[in-house]
Amino acid sequence: MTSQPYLLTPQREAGEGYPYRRVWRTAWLEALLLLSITAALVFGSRLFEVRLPANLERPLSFAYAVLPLGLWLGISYAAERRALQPRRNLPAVALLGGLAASGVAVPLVALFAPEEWLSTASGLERIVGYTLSVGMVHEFLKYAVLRYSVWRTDFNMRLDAVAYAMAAAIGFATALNIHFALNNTLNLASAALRMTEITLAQVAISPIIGFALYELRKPNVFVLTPLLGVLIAALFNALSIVLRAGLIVAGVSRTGTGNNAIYGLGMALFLIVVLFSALSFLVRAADEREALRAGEGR
Amino acid sequence: MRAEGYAAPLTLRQRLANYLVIGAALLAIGYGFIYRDNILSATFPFVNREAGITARYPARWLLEEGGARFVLRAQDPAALPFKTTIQLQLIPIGDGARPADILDLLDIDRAARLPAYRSLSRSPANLPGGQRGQQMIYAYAYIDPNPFLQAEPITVRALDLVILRTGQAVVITYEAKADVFEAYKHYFDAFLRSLTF
Repeated sequence: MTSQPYLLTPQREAGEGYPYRRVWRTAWLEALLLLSITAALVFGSRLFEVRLPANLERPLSFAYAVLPLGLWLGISYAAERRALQPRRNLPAVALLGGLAASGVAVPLVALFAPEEWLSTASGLERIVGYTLSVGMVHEFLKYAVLRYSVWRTDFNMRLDAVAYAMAAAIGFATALNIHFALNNTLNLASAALRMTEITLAQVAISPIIGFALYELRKPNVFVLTPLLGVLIAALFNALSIVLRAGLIVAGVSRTGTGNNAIYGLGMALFLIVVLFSALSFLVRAADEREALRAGEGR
Repeated sequence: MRAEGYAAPLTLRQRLANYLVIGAALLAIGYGFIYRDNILSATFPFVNREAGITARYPARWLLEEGGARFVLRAQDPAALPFKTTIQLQLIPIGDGARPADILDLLDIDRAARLPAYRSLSRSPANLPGGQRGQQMIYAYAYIDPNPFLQAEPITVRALDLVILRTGQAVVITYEAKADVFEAYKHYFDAFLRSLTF
């Protein structure tokens, strides 16, 4: 009779895992998924020349309007619930963002009617005009939603600020998308393109507001930091509109002069890549700097 | 770095920074409305020394000068599907002509040219400069000449204002899609205020 050696597994020291949701990872995943679905829809409909019945276009556009929210719930919020220390008020902030968009931003921007007076204005006038109208309204509302809801209680680290700012932006974008779907009769691919651009632009710009609001928690904050954050966010918001309009205009050729709406997606992708990369670097650098300072202080 | 909540009362800097954002946002949005009005009401000068006419037309509109039927025609390129138009033409007249005679002439001419033309009303009118004249409001159906667009006819509402000067009748016309006629009429009123001849 042979005896099996009895092996003892060395006891592992229970390592302290990262207790929070990794905000940037889920945000990248959502953005890439949304981009992929939209690109597949646009190229698929062009390749196979799919024509949906007119009475189906609007319900499907409406469904597409809430797709970013569905992705956020399925990826970010689900990951948040699995985390050891979840950020509990994300859905409430998303809801507040949506209410601010539909209750204040949409009527106020309709009052501005920027497309009526800026469509033929010069480039600089368009940037200034969109910054003062659409950009400032959108970004200030997101600032107000965060500042007067979770800023005191839930902004415990910079990534909290980023996560809540993205939640507000998702709610905001969903309301804008629903408004767009209800008030436009476009085919599904075109509507999906526009709504993806709206969502990605809102989400890409939102960490700037989160970053600025986190700085406001410091007792000796430089008084212009939050204002600069809102102004920069408003400027990016305006640039996303102006540059998109410039990008989608196709060159005049013998075969056609139509718009290249797909290029508008390039603007949203550019914002996502540049702003997510820049903000994640800034957040990490600021956190490390603070940790070093705290270490020196001890 | 993670700290739990923020219970401490806000410092003066924090309050100031927050109020600055609120104040600046309200100011920026308010200035946005002023900026919008500046762009919308911006005008360019029009001078025709030969006809002795000066006026200011909306800066965003396209100007056409010296056509066979008019001295000046400004059109809003953003107004689709029918471009809102302000037009000024000079018609030679004989002694004793009255503004009503000119309107009769225009009435006959337009009835032959414009589909579904209807003269709606006539009334005396004064220019802001004090000159007296007569105005006529009329409507017609505009049909896009491009058959490939397959567009429905558009109801156009228009206004003719006739002022007489020595040997000439000045006819100032404002045309717009019927549902935006009143909304865009401030451009015409501003044009009349700036008009000298």
